[in-house]
Amino acid sequence: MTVERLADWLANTNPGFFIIAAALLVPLAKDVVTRAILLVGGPGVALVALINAHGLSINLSTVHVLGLDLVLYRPDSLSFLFGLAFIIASAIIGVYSLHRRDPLQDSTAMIYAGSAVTAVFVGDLISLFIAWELTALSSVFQVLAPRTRESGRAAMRYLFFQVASGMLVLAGVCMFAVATGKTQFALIAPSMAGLPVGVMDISAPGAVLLLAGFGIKAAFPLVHNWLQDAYPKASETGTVVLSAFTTKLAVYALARYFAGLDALIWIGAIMVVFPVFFAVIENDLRKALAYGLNSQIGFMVCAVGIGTQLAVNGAAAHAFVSVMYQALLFMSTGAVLYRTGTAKATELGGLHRTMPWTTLFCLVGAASISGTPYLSGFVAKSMAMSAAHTDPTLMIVWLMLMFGSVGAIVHSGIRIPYFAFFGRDGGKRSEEAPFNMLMAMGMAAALCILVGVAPGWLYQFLPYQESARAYLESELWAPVHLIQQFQLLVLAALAFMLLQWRKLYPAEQAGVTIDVEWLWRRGGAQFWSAISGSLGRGARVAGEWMTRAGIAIRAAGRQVFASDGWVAAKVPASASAGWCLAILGLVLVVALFG
Amino acid sequence: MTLFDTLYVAPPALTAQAPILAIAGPLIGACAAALSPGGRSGWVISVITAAFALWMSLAVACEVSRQGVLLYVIGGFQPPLGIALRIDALGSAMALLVSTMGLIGAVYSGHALVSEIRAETHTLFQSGYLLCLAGFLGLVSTGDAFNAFVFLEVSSIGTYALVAAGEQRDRRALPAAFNYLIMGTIGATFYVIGIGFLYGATGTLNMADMAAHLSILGDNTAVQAGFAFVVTGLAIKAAIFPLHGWLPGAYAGAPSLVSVFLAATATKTAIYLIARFTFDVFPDASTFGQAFLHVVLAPLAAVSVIVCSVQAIFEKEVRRMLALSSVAQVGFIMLGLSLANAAGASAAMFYIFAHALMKAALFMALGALAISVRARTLDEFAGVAREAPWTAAAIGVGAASLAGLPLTMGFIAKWKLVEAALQGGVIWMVAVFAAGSALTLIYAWRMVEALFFSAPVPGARRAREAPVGVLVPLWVLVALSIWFGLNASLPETLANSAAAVLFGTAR
Amino acid sequence: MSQIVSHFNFIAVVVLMMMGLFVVFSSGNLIKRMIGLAIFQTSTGLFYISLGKVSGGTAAIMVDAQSADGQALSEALNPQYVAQYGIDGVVYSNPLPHVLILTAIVVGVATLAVGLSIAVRIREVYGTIESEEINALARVDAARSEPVS
Repeated sequence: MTVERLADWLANTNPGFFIIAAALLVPLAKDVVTRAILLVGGPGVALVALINAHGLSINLSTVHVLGLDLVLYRPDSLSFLFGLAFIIASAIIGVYSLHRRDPLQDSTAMIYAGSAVTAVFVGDLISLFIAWELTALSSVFQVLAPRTRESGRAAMRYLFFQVASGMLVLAGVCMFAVATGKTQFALIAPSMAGLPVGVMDISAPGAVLLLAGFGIKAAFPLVHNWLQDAYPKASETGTVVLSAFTTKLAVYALARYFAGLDALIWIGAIMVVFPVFFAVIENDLRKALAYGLNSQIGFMVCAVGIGTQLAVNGAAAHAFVSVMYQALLFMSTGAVLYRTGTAKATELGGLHRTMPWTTLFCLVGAASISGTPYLSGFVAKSMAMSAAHTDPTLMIVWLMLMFGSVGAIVHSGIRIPYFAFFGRDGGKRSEEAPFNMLMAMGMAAALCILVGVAPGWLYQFLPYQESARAYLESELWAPVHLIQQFQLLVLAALAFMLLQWRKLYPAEQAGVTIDVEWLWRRGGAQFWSAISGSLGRGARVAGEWMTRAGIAIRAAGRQVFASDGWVAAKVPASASAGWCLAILGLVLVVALFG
Repeated sequence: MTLFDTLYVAPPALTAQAPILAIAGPLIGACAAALSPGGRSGWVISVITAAFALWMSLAVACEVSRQGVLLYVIGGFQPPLGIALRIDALGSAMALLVSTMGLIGAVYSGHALVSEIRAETHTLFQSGYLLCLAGFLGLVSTGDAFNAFVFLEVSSIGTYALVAAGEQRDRRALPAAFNYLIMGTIGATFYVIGIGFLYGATGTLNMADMAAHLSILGDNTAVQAGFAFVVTGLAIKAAIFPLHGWLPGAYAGAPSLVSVFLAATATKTAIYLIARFTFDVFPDASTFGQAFLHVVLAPLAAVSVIVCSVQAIFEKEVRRMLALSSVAQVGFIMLGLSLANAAGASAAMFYIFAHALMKAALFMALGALAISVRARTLDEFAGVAREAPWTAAAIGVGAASLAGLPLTMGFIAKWKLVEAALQGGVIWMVAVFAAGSALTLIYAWRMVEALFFSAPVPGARRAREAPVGVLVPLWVLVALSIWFGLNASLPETLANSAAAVLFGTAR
Repeated sequence: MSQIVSHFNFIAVVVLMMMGLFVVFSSGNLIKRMIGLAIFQTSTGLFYISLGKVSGGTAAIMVDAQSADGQALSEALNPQYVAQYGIDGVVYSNPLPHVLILTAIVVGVATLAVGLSIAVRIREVYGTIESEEINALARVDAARSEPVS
């Protein structure tokens, strides 16, 4: 094979395939060097392959299967950014997981990453579904990885949601494809000028099912539980892996097919607000981060719903930076969990003395999510906010997003580092995190700083170039914008210090006391906590009933279907006169009189 | 079918005799195996004969793809009076499947028999195995309705004996084989009675000739009664709910080699005959044929999919679970057939291929594991993936294909079924497919969970990796399952041209 | 009434068939079930033979009127037919069903042999040929965790 043909092959193959191929080799790697080469090399090759795709917007690879054209590789500027984020995250995760050899987890994590990349770059609904299902199946191994009873149960629940999402998507795809005969997104709305974004009409057959399938994966309100349930139960690397891909893939799919759908604005806004209340009082730091993640996805969903060029840019940019800083935060809490064996706020504190580097990286991530200028969060989040701000009818949404930003500063920006590394000394004196973890965190932190200092680098990859350039030149560094962000930060910090000083902050104790909740109650949270409380109670009761019903159903099922059950008795292994003659009679009757 | 058009398999002189050689080869092999001195000789004969049968089937398939229909007149007596082998795309696809599974099973038998069958009966066992292979191959090749009965019984009698040979491992194989014999014989006798009616009405036994007469004859009580007896008899052989009672015990008790081979071929050949009769021999537009499909077959198949899948979920013994799953999968195939259109038949045919590959792989891998673990229930297989990763991985892939996960052949098969049902506008069937797939996922997952994620039972025997002689055929099956999941063009062309035979869109 | 008389053999077929099936399904004894199966299969034989019978027809052996043997044979024929059609117009019964049923009988015998030998093995292993006792023992086997060998 000549060099040209190799290059040609690289340029015309979906980058996700390289990662999956490397993933399949991972179980064979025995020593750490080979593993490192595979875990980083796979994404590396994918990255090289991806470079060719920059600026393209065409079908590069199509196969014909079962009378269907499957577009395996169709990059454009929207998928490029998501793909870039996933590939980088995959490499970082590879480094992060080097310290522990678990072939099953490593391999499935990479398959998961690879299929997420594949999903972003395929050009039709059927391939999207296949990759979608593959992400679901490979990701469940991350939850299973601790191999405890609890994680096994959580994995089943997680799998249920993921498979439900897949089924809905499949049903939607089938209905749409049968009704319209179109599966390639580029052909669904051919009249659309420019980038094919938001190609599907919600009134199209099957579109609602698709939206529901995407929505489960994006953890829309009321179907979000799988996220907070499963993420904290995964291993320290598993949580990082999970946080990077699933929800962002859903955001990509929503942007691709449903951008500009008004309902998404409100879904997104609610999604931004409600997890904040849970995040600030959650004792398990990884669970708190999972709530925070949910809120961040809300920003993207909201921006996708607004659907203007600026908003879609904002959603894409936000997805990119949020992959990095969420991973960074999960990695630092993961490192703490790995070294101390716990991620509970009440048991931690004061770790900055022994884990200085982890502390530093965590602070970078925290500052990024808070939107500190010159770090990545500021560069991206402001774009979605501006998009909401420019439309006067979206005032309430803008306020909700504002509230979410403040919430992010409190629950992720200040609270996580404070409780883990500073604050009340938990008495734990652990070692610094393993070198590979530090390296991975360092890479993510460096990206956060790079994007923050030189936003032009990120902006050159955004879906709509002109809009991005205009925003960079006129709005991003505007003094008003900077001052507003600093004000938010300082106010939030002050509020947190006040709470802390008056010993009012809830999560310092394991239980939540009534009198410290008053601030949240007064701030409109009464409603929410009442709802969440009754919802929680309702869910508990419903859960008990379901468990009971499940046991009853299982017992009944066993009686009917087990090998010594009713059906087996009615259809015995020994010849059964009744059935033979009954069927013969039935067929005779049908044949004679049918 | 571009692949077979251009393939040069055998010299023309041999190709001309290929249809009969594919059947006669295993028959002669069966005699040779019975007379051979013992030791490994039975296995050698079996492998050579099965390979020969596959070679001849390939030659037939190539010839069929070039000519459309291959007519081989036996003994120079011209049909319709004489017996003829008449192989079209449907028959050649089935023959290809049967002989492929025959060869894979024969290779596997080298190791499987040693631990499951007494050494002195190995050669006799191989003889029965080859007899069975000859019967199935004859069944799918013949163009004569009564001849089909003879081949049906040749294969069945072989099968009864093979199942009974499982007594060495599990003595419940004996009553299971006995029940299988009773039910199988009743089914075959029903079939003969039906053929008698048809012969009385048409005066011929040649299927093509019979079809010509029947299309002129129209609806007539004798024809209708004949139809009812034929399809009911075959329904027993195909294990359609609730006539499947014989199957779980027989498959679970039989030696693992027999389960591998039967799961892939036995019920499938009966399905082939049902399809042949309902769509080919009887006129397509016959009201009773349509009524049978819609009123009897489709509902029974749907019930079979749901009930047997649930039974499989609650089943503790792994092999019984797989056997029940086979009944449920037959339900899937029957649902596809009952659509009575080319898309449905093509999907059913594809499903037959997919199910043969994956179920054979599962039985083979479990059989190999059971040799070292000596386990029967799922719990006893807990955690064997650590000691036997390759075998367990094969089970994992097989389970994934069974559940119809993307990138496996099972997925494409289910996809085609759903597509066909949507095309036919039968929405309730799509719901049954979805429910059946979900239930399948549950028991497939139980297997994977037990093998990979459960801690081994304390004090359990340690599993050993299957020997190379088992791993090779096993991974051939698994690799085919995956390869056809990625690139389904070969089985698809086979399935499409087979369906075209039944629905007259052929060349 | 004449219907019944003229279709006497078909009625016999149905009676035999039902008898056979009844024995197969109702009896618990494996040997009796095999006997039932044999009766059931025999009924098909009668059915086929009846199909092939042409009223007044003779066995399908070519009658050559010129030879002495032919003359001798024709004497056994129905004189009415010979009078009506002459010796060349002899009606033969359809020979094909006879051939078919010969094959079917062979198949049936083979099945019977296999079935009886399985029954013998069952007797050796289980010590009984009563279905219910065998099923009870099989349930005991199923409850045992180790495979029986």
